Amino acid sequence: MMEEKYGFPFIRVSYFGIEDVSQALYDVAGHFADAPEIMARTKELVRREITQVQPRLAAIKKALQGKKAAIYVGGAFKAFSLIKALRHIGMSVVLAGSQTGTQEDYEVLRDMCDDGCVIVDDANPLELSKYVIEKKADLVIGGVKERPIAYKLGIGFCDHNHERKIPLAGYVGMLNFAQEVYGTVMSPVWKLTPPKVTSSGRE
Amino acid sequence: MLSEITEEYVVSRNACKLCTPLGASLAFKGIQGSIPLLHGSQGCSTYIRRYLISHFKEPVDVACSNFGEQTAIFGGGANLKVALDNIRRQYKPEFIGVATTCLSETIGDDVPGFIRNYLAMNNPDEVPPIAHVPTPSYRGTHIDGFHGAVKAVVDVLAVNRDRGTDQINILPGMLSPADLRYLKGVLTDFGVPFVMLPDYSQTLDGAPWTEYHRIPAGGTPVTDIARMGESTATLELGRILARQDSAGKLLSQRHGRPCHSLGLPIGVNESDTLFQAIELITGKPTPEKYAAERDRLIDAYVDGHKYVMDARVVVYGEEDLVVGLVSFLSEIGIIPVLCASGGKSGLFTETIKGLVPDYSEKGIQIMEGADFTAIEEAAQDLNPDLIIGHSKGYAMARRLNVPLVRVGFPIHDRVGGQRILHVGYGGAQQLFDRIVNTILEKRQEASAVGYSYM
Repeated sequence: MMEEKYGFPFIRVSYFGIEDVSQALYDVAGHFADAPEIMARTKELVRREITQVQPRLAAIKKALQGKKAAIYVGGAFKAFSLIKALRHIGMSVVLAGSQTGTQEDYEVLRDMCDDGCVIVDDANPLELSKYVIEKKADLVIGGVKERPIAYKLGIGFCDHNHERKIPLAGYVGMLNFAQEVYGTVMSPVWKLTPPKVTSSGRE
Repeated sequence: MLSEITEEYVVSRNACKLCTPLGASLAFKGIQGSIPLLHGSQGCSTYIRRYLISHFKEPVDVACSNFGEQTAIFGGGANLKVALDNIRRQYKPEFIGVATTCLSETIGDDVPGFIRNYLAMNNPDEVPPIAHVPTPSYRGTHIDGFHGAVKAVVDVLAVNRDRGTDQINILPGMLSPADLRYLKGVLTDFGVPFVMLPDYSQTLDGAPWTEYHRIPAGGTPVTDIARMGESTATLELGRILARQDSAGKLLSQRHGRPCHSLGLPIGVNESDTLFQAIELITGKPTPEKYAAERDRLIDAYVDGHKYVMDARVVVYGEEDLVVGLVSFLSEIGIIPVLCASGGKSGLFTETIKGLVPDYSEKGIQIMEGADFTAIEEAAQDLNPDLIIGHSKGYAMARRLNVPLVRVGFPIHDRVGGQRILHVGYGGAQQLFDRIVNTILEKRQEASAVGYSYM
């Protein structure tokens, strides 16, 4: 709107995950093509920030390698970033969906996801619970209303919404995200929860 | 010539343990119609009374044989005789538990001999049973006094040899009155007759009175203790105690019935072990009430797991209490970065390592025979999120600016120490909620935003 009405240049960016936040910074720096020192400083900034978080992220990736996530968020655009962020810490996505995604969003999602990933639109708790069990998800990412679904089924959960107290955006946000995912997926409390019942019997 | 200066400290600075006869007095308070008698000077009983009263908020009479300078030189035999006479006249007790003190032990008083003479010189039908436990405070801690007293009581009183009952014994160790009530509830709900020793759940957590009582109501009746040898099995709680000389083992040796040594049932795993042991002994299933309580506890663990995962905690207290707490903390994802006790059983480090096999990877420090100065020095470098222990750690918690979750004994700076439930699924639920909420509160108060949801 501001672009249409006032002629302000506009770029669509995401600040979630190391890849997307770095791309966002490069896109902004690239916009100022007549000032190459901005791009030089941006590259330096990205290098510095990544160097700071990478050792801890690598340790978390080692622990989470091969774990599976289900993503169900408000907008599909956030899901794109989350898929990349989860891959960065060794996790695959077995379910992706949103409440408000468009046809084009879902095409992008399909391209991004691994084969066998379930893609859902505007799902209800029954559908979600069916797929997270079937796909043996270790983690659900969603809003507060999805939390009890995950918890009742003995699955870790990370909320990705406006109510958060710990930020997930930017480089520090990526580290917070990784630590939170690690904390919920690797918690020893899952040793005490009852085994899940799938269509082929108890796990 | 100058001697070599060493850094080694032989003094204790702010001890993380209490007097040995204090534990003995507490155990004796769990017998019906009982009076503890300290063979020593008045300060010992005064300090112990002050300590017990501040925690339990109940009258606690502890008699004393009133050593003076002359007694210290000529021995306390005459004093003990007068003390026993006075107690019998004034309190009309059903049981007298004699614990010694540093002074009487150091001068070498032959207390068993004094008691034998006393019994010989009086009509045996008129004298209540007397048990004696040697408790110099320079040997062991209050927990040794406690277990020593329980063993002395069993030794003197558990004399019946009849057979054929399905009754069981439970030796719970040094727990809160709320814990003792919980364990009695479990056995009652299983429908199994039992003798619990000691049981101060009423004597040290009782009702208001219409007139002053010499001895508070409650406690294990002497006649019940006499029948402990008839029981089909004994449950004795404490993983450290399991590897020490104990009342449970004495019962087993003397009466040929098994003693099941379990950990303090703190958290799901150790509580499961207790319930399984009771199922095994009685042949009955765990009552539905406790299965449901366990399910709700696990649901609560799930709801709160993210707030405690990898939280760094300093935990201190009696060795068996710390061992039980470490088992509980490990199952909810908390790292007990420092496990400390003033106890010196020599079994603590090994027992903790057995519970947390990756202790080294997690950087867990274990300190035996530690005082609060040493604990605080170690804690300073560990950046803890939380401290768990009794109220004598408050000064340390305050200096480190880390919240203290109060458990165990003594709790002198809060009400309700006697009502803290540590054991069973119910106890784990209360501990879990308190720990999670303490962490949430700290985070909420540190936030610049006054948010009011999680």
